[in-house]
Amino acid sequence: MSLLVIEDIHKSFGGNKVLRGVSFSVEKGEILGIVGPNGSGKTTLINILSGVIKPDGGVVVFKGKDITGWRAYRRAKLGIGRTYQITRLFTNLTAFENVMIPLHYGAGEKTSVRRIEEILETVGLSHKIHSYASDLSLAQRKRLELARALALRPELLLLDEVFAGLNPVAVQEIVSLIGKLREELGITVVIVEHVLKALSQLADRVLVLAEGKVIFSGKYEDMVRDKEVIKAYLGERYGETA
Amino acid sequence: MEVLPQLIIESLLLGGFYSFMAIGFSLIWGVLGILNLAYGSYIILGAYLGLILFRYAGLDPILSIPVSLFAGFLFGVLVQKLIFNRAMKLEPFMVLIMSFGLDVLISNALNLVFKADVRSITVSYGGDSFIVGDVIIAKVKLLVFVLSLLLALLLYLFLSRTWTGRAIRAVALDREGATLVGIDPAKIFLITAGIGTAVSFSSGNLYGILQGFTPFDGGLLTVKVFLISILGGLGRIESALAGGFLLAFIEVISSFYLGEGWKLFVALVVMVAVLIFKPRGLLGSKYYGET
Repeated sequence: MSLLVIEDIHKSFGGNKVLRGVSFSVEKGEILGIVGPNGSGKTTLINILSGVIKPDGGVVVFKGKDITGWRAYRRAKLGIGRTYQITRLFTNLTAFENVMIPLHYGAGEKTSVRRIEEILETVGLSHKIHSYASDLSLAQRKRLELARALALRPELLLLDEVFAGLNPVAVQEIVSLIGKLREELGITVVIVEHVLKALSQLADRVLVLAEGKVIFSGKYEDMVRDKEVIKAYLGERYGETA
Repeated sequence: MEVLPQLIIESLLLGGFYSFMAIGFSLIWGVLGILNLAYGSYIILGAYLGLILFRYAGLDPILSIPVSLFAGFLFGVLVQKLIFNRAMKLEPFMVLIMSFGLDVLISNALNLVFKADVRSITVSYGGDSFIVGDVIIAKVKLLVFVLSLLLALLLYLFLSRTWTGRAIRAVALDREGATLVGIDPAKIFLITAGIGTAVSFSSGNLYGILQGFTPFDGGLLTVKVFLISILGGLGRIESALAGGFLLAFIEVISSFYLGEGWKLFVALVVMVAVLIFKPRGLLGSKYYGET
C-alpha cells in the first residue's frame, strides 16, 4: 500500500485554476521530486498536503486514512512534517525550544534534553542549541526547520524548495542529510525544487507539474529528454525540435 | 515640603496597576490580532462583579479576585466562541465593529441594572495611610500595586514555563508554523481570550477599590490600555509594564503641573512621538514570544 495517495486534486484561487486534477502516489521510503515552471502549482500542492489550505475537490489519503478534511495540526500529529521555502521558525525562541514544542505537541513525547540534543545532532546543529533562531545563518535555519519537522517523528517529510538560496557546499550538505534521513530513519520525502542538480542526486522519481497538471512522472534522466517537459519549460518551438 | 517624591511614588503605585490592567488587552491583541474595544467595559464589568460580591456576599474585593478570574475566563471563552471566532473569519474590520458593539451592549446593560450613579467598593481599610519621610502612602494603593505585580509575575511564569504558555507564544509568533508542529490554534485562541478577559475582570476588582466607577467608564479605560500597549510595545509582559509605568508618570506629573484636563492630551502627544520614533514601542517587539 502506498504511504500517500492523492487523487484528482482541484484548487482555484478566484477564477485562477491552480491545480486541475492532480493524482499521484508516494511509496514508503521513496524520495519524490516535484518540479515545474513558476506558477505551476507546486507550493499550492504542498500546502494542500500539509493541510494549510483545503482543496476544492479530490482526496488525500495518508497511511490508508482519508485526511482530506483534516487540519494541519492533526496531520502533524499523524506524522506529516514540512519545511518552507522561506523558513518559518519561531524566530525568537532558541533552537532548543523550536524542537521542544513539536516534540511535545506533535509527537506527544516526553521531552528530554537528551532527545532534543539528539535531534539537533542529526541535522548538525548541536553547537547552536541555545542560539535564537533569528541569529542563525540561512543554511542553519533550514537545518533547524528540518529538525523541527523531525521532532514530529514524521513518516512523510514535505520539503518546499529547501535548497533555495543556499551555496553549492550547503546544498551538498543538505542533500546528504536528506539521504541520511531516508537511510537511517526510513522517512519518505516529497521535495518541491528548483535546483535540479540536487534533485538528480536525490530523487527516485520526478513528477513535473505544468499549468496545474502532472505532465510527466518517471526517472530524472528521462525527464530532461521528455518533449512535453521541454515544451512546458521553454515553449512550443523547443519542444518540437527536441 | 518637597512635592516631587510624592508624585513619583503616586506614579509608581498607579503604574503597577495600569501595567496589570493592560496585559490582557495586549495579550489578546498580540496573539489573536483582535483590538478589543470592549476591553475597558470588561474591566468595569469586573468592578461591578466585585461590588456585588462585596455587598451581598460580604466578600472583600481582594478575596474575590479568584472568583473574578474564573468568571472572566468563562466570559472570555464564551464571547470568543460565540462572537469573535465568527467575526475573525470575515474581514478584520468586522472584529473591530463587533467589539465596539459589545462595548455599547455591556455599558448599557450595566446602566439598566445599576443606573448611572457613581459606585465604589468601600473597604474598611480604604482610608488608611502611612507616612514615610515626606511621602504619604495610601494603604489601598500599595495593596493594589503589590497585587498587580504579583498577578503579572504569575502570568509571566505561566507564559514562559508552561506548555500552554509556550504554545501561546508560538501561535503569536507564527500561527501557521504553530499548526505545523501540532498545535491547534483554535484552542489557543480560546485559552488566550479567556486569560485576557480574566485579567480584565480581576483588574476591575482593583479598580473598584481605587476609585468610583459608572457603567460608562469603560471607554476611557480602553483608551488607556490602548495607550499603554502602544507606548510599551505590543508584545511581552515587560512591554506592558514599561507602558503602564510611563502612562502613570505622564498622567500624574502633567495633571499636577498643568492641570487634570491635560493628562490625556499629554499622553496622546507622547504616544504620537513614540509611534514616530519607535513604532514598536519602548520595549516593543512584534509579538509575545519575541525576546
